[in-house]
Amino acid sequence: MSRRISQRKKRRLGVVVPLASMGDIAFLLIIFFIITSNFTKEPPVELELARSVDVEVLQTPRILVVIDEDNGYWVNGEARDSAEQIEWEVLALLDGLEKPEQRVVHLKVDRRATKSVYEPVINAIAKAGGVIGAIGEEGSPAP
Amino acid sequence: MSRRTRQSRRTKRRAPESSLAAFSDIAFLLIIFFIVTANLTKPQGLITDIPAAQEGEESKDEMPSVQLDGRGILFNDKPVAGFDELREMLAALNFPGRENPVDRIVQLEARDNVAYQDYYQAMTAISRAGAQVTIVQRAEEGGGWGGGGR
Repeated sequence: MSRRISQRKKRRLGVVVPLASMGDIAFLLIIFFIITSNFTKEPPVELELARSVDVEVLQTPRILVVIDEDNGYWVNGEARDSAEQIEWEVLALLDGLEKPEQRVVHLKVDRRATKSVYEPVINAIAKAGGVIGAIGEEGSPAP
Repeated sequence: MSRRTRQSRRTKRRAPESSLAAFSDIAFLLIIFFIVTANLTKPQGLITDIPAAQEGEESKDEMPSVQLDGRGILFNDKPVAGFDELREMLAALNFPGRENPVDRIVQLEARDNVAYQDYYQAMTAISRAGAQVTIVQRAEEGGGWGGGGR
């Protein structure tokens, strides 16, 4: 009797996991992440964004200009000294782009920044031919 | 050598097999990299096509204007209770229905002490109403509104 049982056990086949389909699933996931990821270079600063009820979801930008709490200027994650520098850089980055949707420059400004800091940058982007995508958060402003 | 033996030799040759296990390992490593580095949040904001400032160009009185003085809001030199009221006043002007682009311009002027929070709300309110924002800068910054402000 015991011999029969051992013979039965031997007949059982090992479970085979199809690894070919695992690779397919993995590559589908990679494609998903490549499409949905945002590869814009963010500067290493903490921002408190302005709030408004009029915001909507925007596309991922080619150019990101940031003004931080300490009045520092950043273009695509790299520090800049002046609004003039931003104007020249944005002008160079927008070179050859004709459509308005291609010329969108996202502007992220800390909500506590003062006019003498943010208005020259807005003018600089406008002078360079950029269309400003003013980034903020949805909602009423914090008191 | 007969044809049969040739065929049997051919069939004995095994097709080269690549290790698919390593293939999926690489793929999953790439997935982990993308999960760690990805930022899936879409940016929120509003597109505001602001025309480039022309030095020496004077602002026109007949154009609607929003003024921020750090304490409150003025719309066409009249005080406004808040941004909700400003939105209503801008919506009443029906900018999208105006054919001439010049008629869709709203001037935005702010004093030096105005924080970006207020400026942003005014800018997005004007853009949302279908108007085009133009920034007004005083020749002598730090001065009043011409009429002395509020």
